[in-house]
Amino acid sequence: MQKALQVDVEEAGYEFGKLILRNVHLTLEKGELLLLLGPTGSGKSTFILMITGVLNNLLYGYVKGTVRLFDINPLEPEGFRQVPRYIGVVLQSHELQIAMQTPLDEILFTLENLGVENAFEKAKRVLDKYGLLDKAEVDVETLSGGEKKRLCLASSIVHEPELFILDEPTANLDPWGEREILNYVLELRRRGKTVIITEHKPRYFLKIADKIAVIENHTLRLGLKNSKDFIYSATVSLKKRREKERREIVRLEKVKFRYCSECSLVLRDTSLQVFNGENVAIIGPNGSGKTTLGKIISGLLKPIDGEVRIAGAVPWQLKPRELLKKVIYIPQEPNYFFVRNTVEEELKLAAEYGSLKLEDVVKNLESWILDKMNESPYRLSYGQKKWLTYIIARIYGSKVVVFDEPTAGLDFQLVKKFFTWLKEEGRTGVTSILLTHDVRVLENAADRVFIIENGEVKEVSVREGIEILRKPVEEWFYEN
Amino acid sequence: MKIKANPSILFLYGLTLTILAFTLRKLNPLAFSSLLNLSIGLVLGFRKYRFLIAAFLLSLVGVAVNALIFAGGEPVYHIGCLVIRSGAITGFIEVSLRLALMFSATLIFSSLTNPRDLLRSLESELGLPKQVSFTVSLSLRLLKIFETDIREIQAVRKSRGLRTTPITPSDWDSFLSPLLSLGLERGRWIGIATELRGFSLRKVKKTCLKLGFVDFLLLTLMLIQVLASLLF
Repeated sequence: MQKALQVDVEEAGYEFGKLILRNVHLTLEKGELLLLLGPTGSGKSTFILMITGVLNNLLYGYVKGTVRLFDINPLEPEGFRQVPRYIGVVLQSHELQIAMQTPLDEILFTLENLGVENAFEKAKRVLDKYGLLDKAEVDVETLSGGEKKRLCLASSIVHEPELFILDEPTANLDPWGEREILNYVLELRRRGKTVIITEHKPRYFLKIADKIAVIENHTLRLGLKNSKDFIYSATVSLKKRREKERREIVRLEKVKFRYCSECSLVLRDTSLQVFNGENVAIIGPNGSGKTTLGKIISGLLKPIDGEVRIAGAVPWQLKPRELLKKVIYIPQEPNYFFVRNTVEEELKLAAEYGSLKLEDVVKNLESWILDKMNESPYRLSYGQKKWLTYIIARIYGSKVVVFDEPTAGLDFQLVKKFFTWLKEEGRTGVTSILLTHDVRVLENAADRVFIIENGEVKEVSVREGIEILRKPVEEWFYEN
Repeated sequence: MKIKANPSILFLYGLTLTILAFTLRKLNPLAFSSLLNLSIGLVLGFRKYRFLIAAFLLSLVGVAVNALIFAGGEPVYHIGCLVIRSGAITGFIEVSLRLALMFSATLIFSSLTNPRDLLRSLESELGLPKQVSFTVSLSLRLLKIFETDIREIQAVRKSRGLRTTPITPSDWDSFLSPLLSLGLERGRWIGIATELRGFSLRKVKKTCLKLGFVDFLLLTLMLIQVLASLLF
């Protein structure tokens, strides 16, 4: 069998003396699927950048050893130039990789780069296949998260490469989007393509993976298909509803919202009531209005009609600091959250405004954060950035915390820690609103669940919520 | 009806306006070019680029403050303890007109083309290196993203109890840091993704400029403004 990838690397990193990977030895045959796991910041993305030659050719990093990608050496400049002919890559931050303004242009860009003939017809066919033909010429910024992911996937496979690399393909996707990704991956497998997937939700790909590898402590280890440390078990008991004194903390009454006078309504007659100490999950497809609802609860958007009360107050009538005492919004993209130049300054600022002392916070911080106190928060990995936003929110001590996609990009250990943290905060009366697609949030943390669909919000039981989120993927498993 | 122009002509037009903004010394031709292009730019891009217009107006406040503090000349007005000198008025008008000219070049340019057409036209018709063409075309796409970034940063600042509109140097620092950081990160990942999608393999075929009515109109306008700058 022909080898698709052969890696024998002693050491690799972004600068000498600061290695990210060592002793990486891996062989992938043509047609195999490799599932690559590992904690946040362990070096999974670096591994991808290394095997594609980006690390040493574009990012001035170093690689000691050899990498063979089919019959080319991607570490050499000439080999690196040929890499795009062999691979298709969807990066973790897929929103950051779209270069053109419309889906059609994005697909054509790949085809024109590689000199593919009949590019226009081919692009149209691919857009049709990925359900984007009717949006071929719209601005990409108007696409939902799921549609953008599909676009990245389409633009990376349109030239029919032999190896596909998908860095956290299901992150931020609703279950229907996850199901689509699973279908695409399965189709690639059937067509004999080689696939490398990095994931924090590995159970989706366990069934179809040929090899599983874990990157931990800078090293890649193979063959841990049955390891419980890294493979998240779906059999988590439903949590018991806590007995507590119910005090209304969030109330929305017949709220209507739209972004402009000509736009259609995002929310229509939305009413909900949340009590102190509750962990409330809000679920719904990509683009259904979860973030909008979260921003209304956080006082960042003002509805066109209806009533909103947070801890008894109308949020947009409050001064910023008063609003912060009542509610804080943590965006899906952690880069937006930071306002200071170092991690320490971020924590200090939060302590200055908040209810916890900096010394008390520092005592309980993870060692990796303590090591990076003088670094810019923007230099942390995606998962680390997200975790830092949660620590900052905790220091502020707001009564309500609105999390947008809280588990996206977090590894298994941090997800577990996050659930424990939610429980602890709930006991102290802090209310968490979780805008999520992740079934694990419902299984482990949610007291109540609201579903938002076609602009309407209704409450469902936690069990129903779990079924709604699980159904698309479980049906897929059943069908395949 | 959607008005479209040849991206290369637009590029040349924008470049000419920018050069005029930096080189014109006399106020009359500067005012003529600025007001003419500002009117065209606002008609074309008012709906699509409101945030750019807001940013331009905000920059005028900065220009005014700067002129009040640093300009010399005879005192012209006294408003309370504030003394407005003649240099402040002429300085403000001159710098505002230069900014308006560059700003209107951006508005006209971004309203009449899209990144892919621009890329193809610059590399094939004007013969610019593909890396330069790609960078220019990418900036068009980033304009829209920039708007989203600003909105999100403002939302989070409000949520963290900070001013949504930066006023003090510290505000500006904390406002611009995420913006720059996101820009750098986006640039880095777009660069990586572009390379992995075969940009270095891209072959450029030279083609001739194809001009339409709008292009001839732009060229005529360009000529008039250059002549005006030389004659007056």
